[in-house]
Amino acid sequence: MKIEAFVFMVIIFGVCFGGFVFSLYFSSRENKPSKKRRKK
Amino acid sequence: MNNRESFSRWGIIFAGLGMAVGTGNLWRFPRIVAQYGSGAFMIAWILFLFIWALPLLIIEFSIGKKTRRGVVGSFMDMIGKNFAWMGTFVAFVTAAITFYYTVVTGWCIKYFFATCFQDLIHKKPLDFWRGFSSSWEPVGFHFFAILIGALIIYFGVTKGIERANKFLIPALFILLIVACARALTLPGAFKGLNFLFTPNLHKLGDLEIWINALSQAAWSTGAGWGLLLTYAVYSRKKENPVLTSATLCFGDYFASLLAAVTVIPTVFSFFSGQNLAQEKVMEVMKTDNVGLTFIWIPNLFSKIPSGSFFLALFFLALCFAAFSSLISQLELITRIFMDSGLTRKKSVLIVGASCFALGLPSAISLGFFNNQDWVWGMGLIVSGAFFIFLVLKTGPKKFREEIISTSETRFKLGKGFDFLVKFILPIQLIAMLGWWFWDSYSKDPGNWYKVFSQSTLGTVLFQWAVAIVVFLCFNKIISKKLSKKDEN
Repeated sequence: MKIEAFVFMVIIFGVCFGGFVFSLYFSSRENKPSKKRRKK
Repeated sequence: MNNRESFSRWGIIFAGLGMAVGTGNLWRFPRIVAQYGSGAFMIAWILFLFIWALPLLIIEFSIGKKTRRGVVGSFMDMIGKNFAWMGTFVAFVTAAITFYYTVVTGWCIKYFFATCFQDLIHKKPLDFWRGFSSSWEPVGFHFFAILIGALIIYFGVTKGIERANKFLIPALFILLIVACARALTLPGAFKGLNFLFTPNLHKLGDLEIWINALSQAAWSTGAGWGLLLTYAVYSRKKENPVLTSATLCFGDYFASLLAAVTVIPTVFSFFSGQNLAQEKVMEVMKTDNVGLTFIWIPNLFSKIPSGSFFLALFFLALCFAAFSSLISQLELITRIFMDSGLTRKKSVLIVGASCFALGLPSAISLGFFNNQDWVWGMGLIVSGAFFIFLVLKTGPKKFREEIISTSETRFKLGKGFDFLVKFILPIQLIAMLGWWFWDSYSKDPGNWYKVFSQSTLGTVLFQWAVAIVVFLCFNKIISKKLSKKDEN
């Protein structure tokens, strides 16, 4: 496989899969109760 | 509202992914990306994720979460009863697509069964397709698809939609990964990867690439359909519209990439060792969705070891993708009937029966099917325009500060959203509609105005105009019917 195609593939998959994992992670954090709420 | 069911944390993610990932990811994306410059197309496609699909999905999710009503009721609540017709148009476009989408789902079921029990792989694919499509079988499978879809939504949000998607989506991704791994181990497959991921930056100057990337981003993610709005009705209060929509968008794009990495290397492998292999691949990719999926794919899989098994996997994945989207479409229509005061049971019965009846012409005639796909596929852009109008009428700043970001959400959107809605989204909309009108006209300048032709500009404008005029005339009745529940 050509180097430039391989690098491009890694970038495109990185954006899509990385974006998926990143937004899922932050969305899960958002859904956890905040420290204030937990203290209550 | 207090008694309404709601999705769990993972329920909304799986249901949303199910809504977004459909047959378009598996049969449209690989074809379009190969046709329009592969790498260059992907750059434009990813850009439109951020400036078209994601903003529209955030808008939809926020509206559904705020109003807790279906598409028509949401338009009434947000911008007034005089605009019930706009919501009705959005709902009708999705319903019109559902009428023939059930037919497509039926074809996928038939091909899965044919691969397993009728030895499809050893038959001539073109003859098999002709025999099937000209028989009454598509009607039976159309009915079967609606029956399963209606049964799932009959069981409600948690026991029906959430449970089905929690099975369908992980299974779909596993099937795609297995198919992808098999495709990459075929001889000559890496030539396909080279072709798919060569950046081709010089092609970025081609306007057609940008327009097709925008349309793929719009259709594939389900932005502007009103589907995510309907699912957001059942979301929990602390669900963040921005992060949830982003998860769905990126997940949908990831599924499209997996499909492309499965289909394109398989096609390259089929032609490996032959002269002019790339030209032959392009010929295959220039066939339409139906031609590629139901004629070429069985042909391709027939030449690889254990092809029958992997062909069955492919059609099973297609069935799962089709059903996960079909469920959201049926729920959109059902929600509107429920907003008018009907029970879920009665609404599902009405929706199931009317989808079967109104999908019959598409099940019987491929010409009618193609006409409806041509007319209402593009109607989605008008639906998107209505959502943009809704935000502009509410005021982008007010919409962002009061509807997207609520006291429950910690992650807030910046002012860039206002600029995007005021300028970038309308420019894309005008560019896409303008180019499409011009392209449709210039392909057949002598016949563009013909109303009763299969794929002319005239038939599109005529059917859109009829729908809009009818909904405008019945605006008062629609808004009265959907206001009743509030008064009660």
